[in-house]
Amino acid sequence: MISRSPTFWLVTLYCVLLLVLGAGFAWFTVLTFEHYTRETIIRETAARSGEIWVTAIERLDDRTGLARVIEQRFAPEALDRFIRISEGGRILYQSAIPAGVDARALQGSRGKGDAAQLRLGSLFLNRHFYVTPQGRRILVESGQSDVFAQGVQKSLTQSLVFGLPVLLILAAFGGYVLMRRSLHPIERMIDAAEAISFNDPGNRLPLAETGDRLETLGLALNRMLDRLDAAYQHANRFSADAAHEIRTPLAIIRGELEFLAAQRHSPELHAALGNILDEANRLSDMVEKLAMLSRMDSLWGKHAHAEFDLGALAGETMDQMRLLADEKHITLAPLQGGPAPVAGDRNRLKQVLVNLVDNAIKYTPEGGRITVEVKSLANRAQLTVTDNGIGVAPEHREKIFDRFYRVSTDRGETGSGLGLAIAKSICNAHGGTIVVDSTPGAGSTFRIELPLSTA
Amino acid sequence: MRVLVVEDEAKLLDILLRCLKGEGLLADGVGSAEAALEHVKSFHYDLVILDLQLPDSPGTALLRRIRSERHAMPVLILTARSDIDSKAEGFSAGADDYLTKPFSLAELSMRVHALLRRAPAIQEAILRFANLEINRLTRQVKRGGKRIDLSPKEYSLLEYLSLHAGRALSRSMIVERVWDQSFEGLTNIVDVYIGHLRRKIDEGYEPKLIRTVRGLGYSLDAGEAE
Repeated sequence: MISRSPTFWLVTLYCVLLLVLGAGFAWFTVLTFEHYTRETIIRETAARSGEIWVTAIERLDDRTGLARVIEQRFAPEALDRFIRISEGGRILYQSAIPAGVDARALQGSRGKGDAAQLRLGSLFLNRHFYVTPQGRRILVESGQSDVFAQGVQKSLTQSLVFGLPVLLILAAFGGYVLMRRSLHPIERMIDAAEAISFNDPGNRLPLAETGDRLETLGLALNRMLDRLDAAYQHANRFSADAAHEIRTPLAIIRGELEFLAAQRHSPELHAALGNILDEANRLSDMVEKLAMLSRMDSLWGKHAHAEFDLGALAGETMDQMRLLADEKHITLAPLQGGPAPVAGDRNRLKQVLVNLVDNAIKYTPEGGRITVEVKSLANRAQLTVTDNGIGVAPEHREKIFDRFYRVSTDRGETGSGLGLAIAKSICNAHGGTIVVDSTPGAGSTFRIELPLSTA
Repeated sequence: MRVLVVEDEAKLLDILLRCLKGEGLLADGVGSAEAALEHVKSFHYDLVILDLQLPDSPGTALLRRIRSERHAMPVLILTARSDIDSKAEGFSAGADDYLTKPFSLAELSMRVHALLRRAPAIQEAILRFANLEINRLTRQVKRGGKRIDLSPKEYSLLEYLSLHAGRALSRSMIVERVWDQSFEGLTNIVDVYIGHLRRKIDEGYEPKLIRTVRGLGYSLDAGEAE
């Protein structure tokens, strides 16, 4: 659910980007630091070598004086420095070996090369030969350990490694909050769109007064709703008008036929007249139902009705219909469940029950069983009609509530194809719903839910 | 008995007039509200059948006009509108009965007769058809002197048929009277009950009383078969 929301994806994308950028930045920082400290140490040691030489040149033969002056000026031990002055392998001065430096490596390095920059463990060593005016070749080795720099680098890396996730979490949270805030108008529009039904022209999407594309979107959607509403009302008015206009011609046809049927004719003509009258009656029935449907649609929530018990209504309806079930040897089980007070048009809701039970009887083979149950849930009254009949295939499940929709193309089936459409529009007009669950071949359950009366 | 029919649809007006004349009534027909008012002022009518949609004025306006001029004859409204609101409007304008198009002539004539009865109908407590006897007070039914047990619905159906004996009653009329409006369109329930009633009333007895009239419905008829 959440993994599909745009907020989730945007925040994720943003965090991944931040992670990549942050990691790149940290990596770059650490490398730069390392490079910079190394360069600095190398430059410093080279420069210090010259200073040492200038200091030492006077006292090459005074070892104690040399040591004192060097210690005074360069304090090698305190500053992780290594200084050694030698002449042809003979050491004139050597400071203590800094921690972490292999003494043997220093031993071995003595006397090798001419002027070079070496690295022995953590020690950067600059060796340089100087020549005195007397022609003595003195080797000055000036070293600097980078242990301290390494320590700094380590803590820098650590703070970056630990800091980055913290930063990411903060950024993700901040991003989420920000996204939620900027998407809030959209969420409001979604909620409103979910609640919108036809015949409610006042019900439009709330506009995000942001002055940007979001507001434009809201306006465009509202204009679309206006057009849909107009089209829906037009279609509805059409069926109401059509039903209305058909009434008078139909009355004339029926009247004339009744006159004819009352006279003496040959049996063939009589049978034909009877057939035509039957069809005229069916047409009248359909006109009545169509008119009722459009009436229900425009009635939407306008009428305050009486309160009654849905359970009692169901029981009464079932008693009246038991004989129809008996005729087909179908068991219409006693009503299950308890009372559920609802408010509405009792006759219309009874019509829904009649339609549902009649349907169940029609589509259940002989010997079948139909159960009706009424329950009151948290704030809804629920009624289910369950049969073990032929069921409804999944592809028909939504459409069976459409006007004139028939599962079988066989027109010989009785009924107008309007029964369930009427049931649905009555439920809707009461602020309720009707759905079907079904396993083809095993049976169907029609479930209606109506608001529980709180009065 | 004289009846005025106000209906602008000429063919329907013709059918209505023929039907009323067939019932032995004098009937005049007009096609506009203005003409209707003229007729009501000039003649005495025992009943007015009024279509609500007239070319010159709404039927309810005409009805209010008629009532305001102190004409108290019963008025039967005929309309293509079947919603409760328009029915309520018709009754508040002073109508006595209401019939929605398309209607069956049988129902129209039954309603006309009911409206024309000045006093409440005095009906026999015991109805007899051939050797069938229906006691409306005790709700007991006997055929050939033998008591027959009927369920309440079966009894209501039989009583409705026998009160209008000789007339074909359509399934929707029966559903509306014996059941209620919510069974609208569920006319097969009538067939089932008629089947049960036949088994109890007619099986093993002569003559057969319950007849099926094709296209029209059912009737209870003690008269000789056609």
